[in-house]
Amino acid sequence: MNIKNRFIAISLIICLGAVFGFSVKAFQGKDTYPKIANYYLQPLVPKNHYSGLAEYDLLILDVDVQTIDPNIFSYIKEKNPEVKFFAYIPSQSVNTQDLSSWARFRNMVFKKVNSNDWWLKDSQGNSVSFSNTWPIIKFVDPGQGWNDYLSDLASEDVMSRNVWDGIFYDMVFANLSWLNNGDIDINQDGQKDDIDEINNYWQLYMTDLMNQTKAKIGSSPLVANVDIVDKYQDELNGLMMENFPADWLGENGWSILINQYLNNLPLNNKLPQIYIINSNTDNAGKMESYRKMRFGLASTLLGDGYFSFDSGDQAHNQIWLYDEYEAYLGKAISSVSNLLDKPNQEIKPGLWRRDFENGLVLVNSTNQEQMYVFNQEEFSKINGEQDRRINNGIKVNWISLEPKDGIVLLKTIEQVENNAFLNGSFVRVFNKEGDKVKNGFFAFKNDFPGQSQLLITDIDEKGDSVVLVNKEGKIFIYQNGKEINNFTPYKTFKGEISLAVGNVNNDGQKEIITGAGPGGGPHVKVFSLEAQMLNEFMAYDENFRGGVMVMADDIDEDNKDEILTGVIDF
Amino acid sequence: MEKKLNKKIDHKAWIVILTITALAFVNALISVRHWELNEEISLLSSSISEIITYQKEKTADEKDDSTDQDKDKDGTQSETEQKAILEIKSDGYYYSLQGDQLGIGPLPPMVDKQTNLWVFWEISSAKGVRDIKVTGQLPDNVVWTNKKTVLSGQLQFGEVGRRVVWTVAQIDSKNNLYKIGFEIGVIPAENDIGKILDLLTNIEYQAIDQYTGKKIQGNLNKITTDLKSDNLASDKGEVVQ
Repeated sequence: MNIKNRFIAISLIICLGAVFGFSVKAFQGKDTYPKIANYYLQPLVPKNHYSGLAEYDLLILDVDVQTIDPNIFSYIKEKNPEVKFFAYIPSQSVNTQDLSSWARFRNMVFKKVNSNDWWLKDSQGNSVSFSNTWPIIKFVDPGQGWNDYLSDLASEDVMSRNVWDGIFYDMVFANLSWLNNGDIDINQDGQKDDIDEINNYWQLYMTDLMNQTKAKIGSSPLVANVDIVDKYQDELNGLMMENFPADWLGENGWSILINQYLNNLPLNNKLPQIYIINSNTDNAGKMESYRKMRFGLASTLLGDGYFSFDSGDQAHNQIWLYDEYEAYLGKAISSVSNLLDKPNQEIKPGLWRRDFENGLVLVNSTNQEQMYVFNQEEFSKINGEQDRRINNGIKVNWISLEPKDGIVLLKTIEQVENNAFLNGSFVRVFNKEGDKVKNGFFAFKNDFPGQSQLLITDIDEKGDSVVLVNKEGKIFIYQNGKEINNFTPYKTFKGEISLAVGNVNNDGQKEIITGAGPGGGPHVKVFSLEAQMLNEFMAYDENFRGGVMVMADDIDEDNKDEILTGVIDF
Repeated sequence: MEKKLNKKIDHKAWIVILTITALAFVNALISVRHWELNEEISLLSSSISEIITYQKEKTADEKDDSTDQDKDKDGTQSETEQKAILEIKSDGYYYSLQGDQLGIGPLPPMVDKQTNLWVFWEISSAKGVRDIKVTGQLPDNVVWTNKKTVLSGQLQFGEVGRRVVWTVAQIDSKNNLYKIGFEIGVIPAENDIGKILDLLTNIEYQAIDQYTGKKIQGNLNKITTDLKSDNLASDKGEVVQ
């Protein structure tokens, strides 16, 4: 797109926003993994769930939350500024169970449908319910004005509040062949209509609802929990696959859905594309269904979607957080491959792999246990607290996966960067709680003497690391294995020197900071890569001889590192 | 590193890196056994963790040749300055005693899957010796992974001869960290089931006694999949299916 076209496009988006009275902001989805969603449909969200909800990247909340507690959005945003909110709206029905005063949107819709008698009827003139499981969900006939009404609400009553990032339409069915034993009377002549005519009618008006809604909410995404029908996809930004892997699809359910997820849907859906895979316990309410969770998550990680796991479709309202959600995989760096049939990209039961900056995911979608030996690769299992049988933190070079299971593995680390270390030392990695988050390793650079202090850093931030060697009062600078410079920070002091790097002047490259160790003065110096001294100062009284340890960090977040000094002898 | 790890490992947690010197690490690993030998060096090959002490006491003739400077104020001979001491340890580990996983792969070793472990060599005590050299031979079925840590001296692996060679030219009294570690791996075959496999054989040491100029040499135990010094890995050396 050239600049002129881009300007026109942006202007159109802004105009659409102005017409419908809400600000238009481009949807910026997360591009690191895993991406997790919560399909949380209980309108009255308990306060003690707020902080848990803030752990997710995408939240689908009942539309009435917008008036029940408008503060929920700012509360969660404050804890998680990148979170995305989607307003849950049934697309062709009304939940008549609880029409309490808090259910403002639901009441409004109910009254509108009731007053206009837009209910879908059977041959006896009775309104049609969803099923025996949910008799309180009454179907609407979309062809009598419902499409205009609901799409108007989506833009004017929902998106205009500037708290939602998009609209989520539930129950977007492709046909009604399954409903009420086919007893549906569209033309209200007291006769059961032909099912093909019903389905054609239904798809016509559902497509119209998608079209109208998308036109009215502009660039904000429209996502649907939908039967996969091609004609609906053009106006959608994506969809949810609820109850994945949809056992009712039979043995090929996984392959059918993953093929849609990875290959077919992205060809038709609008940008930005948003896919949500919901796996659950089939209403068993058992959070410890780790294998089901892993299978769903790992399958989701084969593509770019969000993953949601909960009890099931009778109560989507849990805050279930798993060790895998905390594993930071970074960006995806590969597409998928079937390790059991590598050249073949056909989606079928197999052992599927996708790589990320910091690890990989494996999915065993077969009905047999699968074992795989990595070729010259090592990974760490997650060091988790839940299913320690799987996430026990060990380093592995092979893996065995049970049928319908998946696993997230993390790359091992073998080098310390931006912090000084003694060459050859054994390094452990902890989080703030003191848990080991990675396996320990020997930090050793073969080209440099053992026990010498090294600091490896991309000093000019152009991708090429340099190695600073701190030995016997002298700093040597190596790049690509060759010494490019050296300097003696303190001419007369030959003791231990403290060494750090940091960008102290926001010039796009790091500077070298030194402090004289015990026996030397409190003399802190700043040098360039070219070994030119840029600054110096006394960090403590000039007679102090206890030794100064130097560090660098951008404490005040002004893009310039501050110099920190530490002493033991104070 | 902290910033990078925060991004790479756990964006919601602070990462703290603790550096533990290999000195403390290896010292904690190894239990000490001690032999003292006079005049002659014996070959010891009965233990996993071995320490060989060579002490050279002066002969009567040498004592006669000594000058007054060699004598204490009361005129007695100072023998401690005249002994060459060399203690070398050699062990294989999958886990450290502190629980860190050093190796990788199945334990017990499994057919067709690679198991790697670390060998540590250490000069735990040395006096009056120079040109110390420790060597070991990798069997054909053992691979050199090129992972290592070298606190002192030079560590080399000869691809053709499949020999590991560690050399330390001089012992500096200010440096007490004469140790190295390296990783090796093995992929057992079907006919290895039930066997304990050799991983590093013909482990030999040699040095020059600075007092006599003579060569000191001896052997150390081979390293096998039976890692007796590794509390967490011992009794897991036999290959399984």
